Amino acid sequence: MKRSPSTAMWLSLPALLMLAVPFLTLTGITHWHNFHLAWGDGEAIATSTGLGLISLLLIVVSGLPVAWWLSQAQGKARAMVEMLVLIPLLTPPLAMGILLVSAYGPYGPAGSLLARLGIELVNNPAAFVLAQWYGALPYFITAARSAFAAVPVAILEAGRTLGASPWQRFRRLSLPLAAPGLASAVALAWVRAIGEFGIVMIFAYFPQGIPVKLYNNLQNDGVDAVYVLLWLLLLFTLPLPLACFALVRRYARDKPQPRTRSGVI
Amino acid sequence: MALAVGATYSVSAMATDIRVTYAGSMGKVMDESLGPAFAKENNGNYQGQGQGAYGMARLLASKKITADVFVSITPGPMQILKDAGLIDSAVPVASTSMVIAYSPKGQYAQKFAAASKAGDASWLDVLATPGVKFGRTDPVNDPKGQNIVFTLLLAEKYYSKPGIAEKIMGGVQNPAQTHLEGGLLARLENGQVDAAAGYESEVISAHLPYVALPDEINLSNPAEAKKWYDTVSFAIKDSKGEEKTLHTQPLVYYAAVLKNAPNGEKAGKAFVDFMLSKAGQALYRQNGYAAPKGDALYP
Repeated sequence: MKRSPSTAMWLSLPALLMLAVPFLTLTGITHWHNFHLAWGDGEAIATSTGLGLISLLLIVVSGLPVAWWLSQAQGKARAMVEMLVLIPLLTPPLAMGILLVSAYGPYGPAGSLLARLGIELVNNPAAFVLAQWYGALPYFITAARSAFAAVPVAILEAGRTLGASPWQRFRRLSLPLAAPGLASAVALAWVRAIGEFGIVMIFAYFPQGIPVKLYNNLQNDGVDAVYVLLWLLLLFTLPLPLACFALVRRYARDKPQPRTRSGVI
Repeated sequence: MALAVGATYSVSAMATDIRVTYAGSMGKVMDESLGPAFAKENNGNYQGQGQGAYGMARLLASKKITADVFVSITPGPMQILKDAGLIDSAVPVASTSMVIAYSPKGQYAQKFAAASKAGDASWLDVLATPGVKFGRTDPVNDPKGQNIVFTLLLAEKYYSKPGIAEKIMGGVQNPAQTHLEGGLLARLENGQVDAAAGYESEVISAHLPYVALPDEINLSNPAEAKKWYDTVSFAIKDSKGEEKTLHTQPLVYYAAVLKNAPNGEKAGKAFVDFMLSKAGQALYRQNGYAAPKGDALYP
């Protein structure tokens, strides 16, 4: 089947136009001559990006093994783990926030255990990180698992035949081959963690990251203050996913050969 | 369907649809009582939307949202619409008072119950007990969050217990206590806080036990405003980072018809009249609200 790029482009137009409309509007309605931060906006940016990076690290470290295992496993255990990832993925953030309050609140089952260790998860940086972690982890696992699943089984089989241990197969074969997909998964997790509002507004109102500050700016100053902070959110949070995508492109350039899905390379 | 619509139309040629925006704490009385009752009486559709009163007022003022009627708590949010030229006047439709709700299953429940019965200052001592988890909303953006600060400051004076307000609050915007409305509600209903500041109306709606407070500190009585409530104030930082001194505003719910009402100002007026009617006031009462107090704004 011959695909003409121009046809694809024309077919893309409705979606692209739809995506562009709110942001073209934003460009039009921002008061550029009166562009100034509301009090506390700077702190919100620091909170979102700083704690967001910590969350991202935790998400990747905790999510990668699950994603890899899911891509390799079979049978009942896999089905159960799949469910365990799917359920939080489907739970609306607001409901998730309420569940976190119930579980990790000072009198909750997990919360009272942590309280015995002197840890309290009420409106502090740890609670904020936990909220982002819960918000983005299922997305990361799902995307990273797809990336691992796209690694040809034949390559892993070949590795096994040649005597590579599971760790070596993961480290030397799966990880590099899945790198482009993993980069997208990291980008997705970042976007999801930064944008997290539903969980945060219920579970960790402080420290205030950008989404909560957007809400407060609306309450205190009106929509203009929202536009300003939104621009800054884009400015400060776009570089990471852009870098991830650049990594993917470089990878594609360095490895021009298409990967075969069947047969041996 | 067509038949039903036709029948409805012939019975009442003037079916009235209505879109009401209101202060977030009014969700239950609006969406479950007043709205449906009005819709039934007028064979129309009711649409209700609630949010933090200031945020809602700003969305209306910047015309990002349109509505026939806005119901606010305290005059503050109304002023935003008045400044935007969207309303002429606002009338009181109900009132409420500050109370201290407590978790019925919490370990301090009995102490709060005893304090409630005693009717003295003992509730302050229970709140100040080390380990008691107290919840309130953010005084920076929420009128209720500001009101509990006023209540505690007034209580400190009224009962002559210097320093007790600070001891309870640990700072005006103490992160360990201040949550967003929804977050506080989740914590209170879940028993994750021992006590929380609330409006009597919402606390009754939620079937929670509470400590009722005397008029001198519950902010419900506009008659107390000038000579007593106004003796307390506190400062918070505004959006420019400058200190801004806040004063109390009476806990009265005001309703106004918007000039850009999508269903027409007549429909808006009809809804406000309904809220003030005998039937409307009965519904407010059933939901724990008190009668309107004081005068109209900008008469």
